[in-house]
Amino acid sequence: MKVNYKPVLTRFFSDPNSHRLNFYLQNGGYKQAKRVLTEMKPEEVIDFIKKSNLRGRGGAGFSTGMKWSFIPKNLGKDIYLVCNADESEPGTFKDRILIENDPHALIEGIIIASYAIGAKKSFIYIRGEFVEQYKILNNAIQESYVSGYLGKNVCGTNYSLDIILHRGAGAYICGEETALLSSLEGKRGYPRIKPPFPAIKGLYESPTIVNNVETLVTVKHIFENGIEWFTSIGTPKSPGPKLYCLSGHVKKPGLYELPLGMQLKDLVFDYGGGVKNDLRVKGVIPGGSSSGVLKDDELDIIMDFESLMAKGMILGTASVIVLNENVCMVDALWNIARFYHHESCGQCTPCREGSGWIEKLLERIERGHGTKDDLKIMSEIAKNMVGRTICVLADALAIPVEHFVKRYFNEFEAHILHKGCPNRQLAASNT
Amino acid sequence: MTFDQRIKEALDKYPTKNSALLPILYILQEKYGTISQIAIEEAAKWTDSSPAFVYGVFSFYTFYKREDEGKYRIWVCSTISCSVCGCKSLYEQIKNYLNLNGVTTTPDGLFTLKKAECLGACEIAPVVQFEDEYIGNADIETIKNKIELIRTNESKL
Repeated sequence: MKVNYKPVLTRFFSDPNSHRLNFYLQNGGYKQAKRVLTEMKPEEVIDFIKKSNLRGRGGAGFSTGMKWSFIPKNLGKDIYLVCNADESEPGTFKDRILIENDPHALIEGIIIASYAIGAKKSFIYIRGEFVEQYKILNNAIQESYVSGYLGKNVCGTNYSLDIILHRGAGAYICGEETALLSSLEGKRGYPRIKPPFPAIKGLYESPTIVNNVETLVTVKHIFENGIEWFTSIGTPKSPGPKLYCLSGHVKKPGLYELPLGMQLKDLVFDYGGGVKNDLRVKGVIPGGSSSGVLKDDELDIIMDFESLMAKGMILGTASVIVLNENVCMVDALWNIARFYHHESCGQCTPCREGSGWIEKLLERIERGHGTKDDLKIMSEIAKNMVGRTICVLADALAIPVEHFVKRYFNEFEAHILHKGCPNRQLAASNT
Repeated sequence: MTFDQRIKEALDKYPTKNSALLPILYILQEKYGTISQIAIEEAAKWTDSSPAFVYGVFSFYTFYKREDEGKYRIWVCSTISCSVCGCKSLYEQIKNYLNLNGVTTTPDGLFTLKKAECLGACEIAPVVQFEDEYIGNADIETIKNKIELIRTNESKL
């Protein structure tokens, strides 16, 4: 069933000029930043976002207002806001499209957030591969400086803010907030032990808030449309609109702006048009490759943070990947394992070695050399990776391992019993 | 602006010299084509650190060009959404077209073909990053045309 919802974040995306400053100003752009800077105190801004119950859109779903309030007062140190635009979770492409189409909404969100936490310098860490998006965002930032929306006296007020656009250079792990800060300091992208959290000791050991692109764009829209608008959308615990990414074997892949708490099957069938070539669904990955997998009879699940957590999965970035009936699930999991092994930073043994062993075991099973103990060994490895590492990259592999094996156990077992993949010709994505 | 001016500008932007290391490596890559030993040593001088430290940082990041890479990169995204949308056969077709047998770079040093991890454009799978440009819903014909265009232009240089 389709829902009655009018897009807000993406409403101008069909216009080829939506990324330009003039277009943005004609549609009420920078009015909220100006209003916030002139009429509100920083604490009031934080309270406003707290009341909206906005939860971070980068994957963890932590309360944005709460995060902002962790910045210590009167420490005498510089405070930084860092926008995480290092979008890399497989299946996810929302931040890329937001930057392409509405870079000024991001800049306005950054102005509001920086003002709220008392930052005078802000960074946008954009993934290296996004060369085109870097140019678009860089142009938008220059336009904002020239027109007085950035730099000294933002919007004619006493508040000054600089934005530094910083390119990453190809490392998934830099999307993890502490790894991102290491990378921004010009080091290898190694995650750091928490606590201390970045709000206490972040960039250059100073209080730092890291927010996702979609989160900051949403902040701007909450100020524009009000808390009532925001909380009237979605579910009580997961309010607001969400950008869902649809990819894989779906007829209409793309970005869909809809309320949080959609039914997964409505997303796949009513919006995505169902499976390409009218094949059947074998599985759906609900929130990016680290989120787990659901079988075709589980698609009535509600897409909010709580419902997926109840299944031992995560909403993540709400990036839905549809797999049709011809997909070999061993092959699909092998592909995912290869990704996390490749992207493990190598600091922690359970992750560095565990992800490698899991990749090797899956390759062996797919190629027909699996033994009857392999599935047990693989589950043991996955279990021993969780909670024993600095960051959650290990969990990001352990979750799909658990759910793929649990839901498609017969298929994994058949590979071992029959010494190979019955589907080899159709699958074959890794070799 | 000269390369040196651009590096100085990058250094001015950040509170610490070391923070400018990633941007400096990008500038030096433009200067030298790849991140060579010379580039590493130069980056170390600009940031007051050692070549060993700079090499350690550089080697962590896949997007910088290695010395053995060709002038143009062809990266075929191979992660899950692209993999179920046919990236494997596309990769094989490009590999055959470029006549790459057991190597990743063409003998003329023009092209390097690689499997990439998720490029973040899953809605247009399969995706190829051709040098800096994303090619969505990529097929062998589009890639062939790009390759031939570059070959023609390069032969005129």
